Amino acid sequence: MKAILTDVTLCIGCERCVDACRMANDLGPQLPFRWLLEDGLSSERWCSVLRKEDHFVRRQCMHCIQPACASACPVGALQKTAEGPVIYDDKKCLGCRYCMMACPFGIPRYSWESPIPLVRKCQMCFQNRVSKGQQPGCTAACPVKATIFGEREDLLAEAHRRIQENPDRYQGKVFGETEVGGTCVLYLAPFDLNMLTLGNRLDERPMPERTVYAMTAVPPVFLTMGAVMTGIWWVIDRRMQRQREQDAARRDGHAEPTSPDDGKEG
Amino acid sequence: MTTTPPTTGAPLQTRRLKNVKALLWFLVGMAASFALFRFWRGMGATTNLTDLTPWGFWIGFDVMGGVALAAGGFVIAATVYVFHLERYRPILRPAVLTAFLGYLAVVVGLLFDLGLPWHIWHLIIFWNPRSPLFEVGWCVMLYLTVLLLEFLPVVLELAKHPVLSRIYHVLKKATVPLVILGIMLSTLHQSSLGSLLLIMPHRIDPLWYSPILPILFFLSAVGLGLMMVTTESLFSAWVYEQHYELDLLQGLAKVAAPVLWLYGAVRIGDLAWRGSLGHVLDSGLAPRLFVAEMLIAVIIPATLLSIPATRRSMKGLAIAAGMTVVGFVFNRINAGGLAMIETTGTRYVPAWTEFIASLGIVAGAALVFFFIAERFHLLPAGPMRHARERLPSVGEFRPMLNRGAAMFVFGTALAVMLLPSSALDGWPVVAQPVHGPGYNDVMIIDGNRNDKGVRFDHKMHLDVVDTQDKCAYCHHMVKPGAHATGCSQCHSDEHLPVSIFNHRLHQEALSKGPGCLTCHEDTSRPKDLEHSRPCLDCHRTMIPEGAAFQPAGAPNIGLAVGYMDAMHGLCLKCHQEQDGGHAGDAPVLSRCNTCHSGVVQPFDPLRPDQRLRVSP
Amino acid sequence: MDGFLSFLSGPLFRFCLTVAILGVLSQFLQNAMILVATDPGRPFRALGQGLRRWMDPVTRTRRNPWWVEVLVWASVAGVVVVPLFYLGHARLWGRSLGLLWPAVPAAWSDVLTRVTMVTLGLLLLARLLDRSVRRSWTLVDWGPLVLAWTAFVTGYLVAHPGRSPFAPDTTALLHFLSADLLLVLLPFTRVSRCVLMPPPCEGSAPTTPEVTR
Repeated sequence: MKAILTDVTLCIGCERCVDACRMANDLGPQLPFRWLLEDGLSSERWCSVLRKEDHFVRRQCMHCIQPACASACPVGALQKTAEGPVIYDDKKCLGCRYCMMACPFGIPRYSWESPIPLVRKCQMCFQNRVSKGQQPGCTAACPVKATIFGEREDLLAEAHRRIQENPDRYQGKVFGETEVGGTCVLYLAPFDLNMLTLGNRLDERPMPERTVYAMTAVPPVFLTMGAVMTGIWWVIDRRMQRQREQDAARRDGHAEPTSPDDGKEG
Repeated sequence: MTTTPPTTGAPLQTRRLKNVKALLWFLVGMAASFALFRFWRGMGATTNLTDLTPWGFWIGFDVMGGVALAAGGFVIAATVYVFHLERYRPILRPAVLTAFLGYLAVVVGLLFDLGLPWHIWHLIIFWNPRSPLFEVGWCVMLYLTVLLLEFLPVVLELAKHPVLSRIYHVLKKATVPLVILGIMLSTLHQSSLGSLLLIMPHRIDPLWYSPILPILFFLSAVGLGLMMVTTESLFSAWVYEQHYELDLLQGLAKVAAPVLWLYGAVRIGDLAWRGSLGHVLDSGLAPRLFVAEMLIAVIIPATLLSIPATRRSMKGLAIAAGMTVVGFVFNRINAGGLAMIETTGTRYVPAWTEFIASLGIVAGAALVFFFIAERFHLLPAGPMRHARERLPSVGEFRPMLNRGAAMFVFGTALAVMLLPSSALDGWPVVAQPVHGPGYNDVMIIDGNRNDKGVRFDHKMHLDVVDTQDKCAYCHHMVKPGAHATGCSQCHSDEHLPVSIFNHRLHQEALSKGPGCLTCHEDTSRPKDLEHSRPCLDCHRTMIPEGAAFQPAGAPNIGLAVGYMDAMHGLCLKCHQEQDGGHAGDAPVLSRCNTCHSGVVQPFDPLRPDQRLRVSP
Repeated sequence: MDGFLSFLSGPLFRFCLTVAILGVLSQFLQNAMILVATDPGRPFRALGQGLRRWMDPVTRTRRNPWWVEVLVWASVAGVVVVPLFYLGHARLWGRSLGLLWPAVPAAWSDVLTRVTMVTLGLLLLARLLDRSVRRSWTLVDWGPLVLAWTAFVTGYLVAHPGRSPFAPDTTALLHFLSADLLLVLLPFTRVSRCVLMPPPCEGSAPTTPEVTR
């Protein structure tokens, strides 16, 4: 699985990656301020550089191993590819924006300014570069190799090697190794990177697992409810019929009353 | 059975009904003109939704609230058909119609909220069974069909065509299976609306987020369904000035009370079990919302309904039912929106257009309800077709439209009048190229690009700013190690027209001469720009190069580009020249790239206010 | 003042325009429904007759001299062309509706405005002098004529501030107000009836036989 490793301590904040992303994905001018959030991402900027203390933190889609967005999308417009990137198919999208609500990192953005809006986010340059054997625009553009592209295992090994070599320089863990079940975008930083999450309440449990139990319960609940309701109807109906028969028998020869379902409506 | 004999043909077009309908038509009119601009200009230009809050009032109220409000249909259908409680039959038909219209309203509301509503049928062909929304979508589609089939006999029973009456008989026979299928589907998606929120633990406050959200949603739907049927029955009796079905409704109330208590107990128990109960006592928005919601939706109405005397009175029933309905809609809005305010720090407040769209949809559903009530055997009193109004003869002139149409037109026009200019014009985003800087000792800076310049003495500033890093003092505000400055922090009023005229300064400087009359033409005339001496009379050097006349002895004057272009032009050029091989040493500007392909539209004299909108 | 003027020409104008369009439309529907209900035989023929009669602004109760015909038709052209295609109006449409379309040359609209102004004035005068009209006409009938005339006169003065006896703001205020009022009253006046209420069928006499507008 392909991945990106960003070493915050190496980044000089030149924003070449942002520019390269814009070029590689043919993005338009930045949106009006009305739709910009503090983090600089928008439907026309899929990667941005944030600042924390004396360092720069690149922000982009985390490409989770078990992505919340792909699990949430009712029509499967968002898909996790075998190569790693989480990609979006605008031909399927309804525009329900459930993916945006589900993403624990608050990554997917919407082209609000358009009457035909789409969900926009980093796709790790899957269609235009990675599937052709090239690396994504951002990692290719980095002048100081602060953000690099490769196999996830290799990058993890590299990250742990760097931590071992320079324990004082880093926080001691690779951000993205285990968060929400692991992501394909990894960070090395001297501080905690909770700033990249939304609501600051992440744990290591993959997001889709939180709905799985409810969704697997659907067919049994459906059938049970049907069975129970039919059962109740049948029991009561039978009891009432017997009651009517008894009444009729007791009245002995009198006309049978009409059944309750006929002609009583309205 | 029916409690009153059918009063077919009774003139029931009362004043109250007419007023209610006129109000509904007004709301529909407002929503209609909003809808036009919503689909023409897009959602961004007509709502306040943002990337941080992509689900707003429409999801909370229209979808979450709407589905919950429509729960009466399956509850009453179960009561009558499955449990064979025949005495509730008089309120069955309106309950089923309310449910059908409620779901229809949900779908219409969803069409407003979906970014690509014309793709809604994709739910049928593209499957993702892991998604709760997929399941909700399917259930709504199926249940809407089931409700239609359940209700269709009401319309078809009056039809005379043999094919239609054949369909009627088939549907009549299929009633019980349809009802049971409806209950199964309702169970699923009432609870699935809760499952919808399970994937957002990071967004929803722990007072609402719970692994048993689906169960809580289902339980509340049952309680709310009973109370919604009560409300709807009381309301239609009030509008049509019929008698209230109190004996039936108190039966419902008797069942509703324990359901509400059960819901409250499960909710509190769940909080306690998860250890979040203490959070209720915290300060902040969420605990207050929670307490309000529990009081309105559960505790007060359940208490009221547990008292037999209140249950028997119209007022008591109306208050309890109204509170439950409002309270549970509030609950859905909380869970789907307000409980996310503190966790995400969003500043989203629904635009008035969002409220109007929702109200208009509800009003439209109510009008359809009236339409059907007046023509078919819906309410216990039967169809209420009013006496036909006298038609004016052809030559006769009637200036007034009928009340409903007039209110519709009025509402439409009012909404068009009030719509923000963004909704009318959209939000065109046009790239503006960045020009290289010009440099002169003195510049005329047209910061807000209104073709009026301000004289900026660059040389003087250079002399005055006597620090080590002269240029950087202004031009490189963001350097490594310095505090980051977002563009908007400095540029917030860049395009706003600014007045640089300092009246007090002039007063002090000129007080020795002819005083006020130096500038003001005449003390009797208004003291404004129009009736004063032009600035240029004294300040002759404020004239750009290439102007019709040039003051003698002006310093080296040149026209500067706008402030932003000047700054940005400088940055880019320098950075490109300087950073060859020394990228790490060069000063770094925060987020140049966010703006550099251009944010600002070219200035269009026909739309001078357009600029303001683009600027922060 | 500027704020108020831009309110009159912006939001209020949009309001009045919507009322005019939808109001006339719903009047039309209402009348068509009445027509279908009362004359199920040939509703469309009657509608067509109404429209044809409306297109011809002068009833042929007497022969008009040719110059009257020319004047009347020119003023009809003015009523249609000037509000839509005069340069200033074209810009106003662009600003308030986001729809931009080409404008006619200023000289054309100038001539049309003058002709319309004079013709409407003469029509107004003729109505005022006619005793039977004075007796039968109500505010509903006078309103549109007076407002239309005011709108054209003040519009002309707005375009030629040098010839205006009033301050530019006052002229503009009058112009915007009269135009907005004319629009908003349109569905409630006899003018809309002329458009939409078809002529009476055979047998039933019209209430105002001398309708000429």
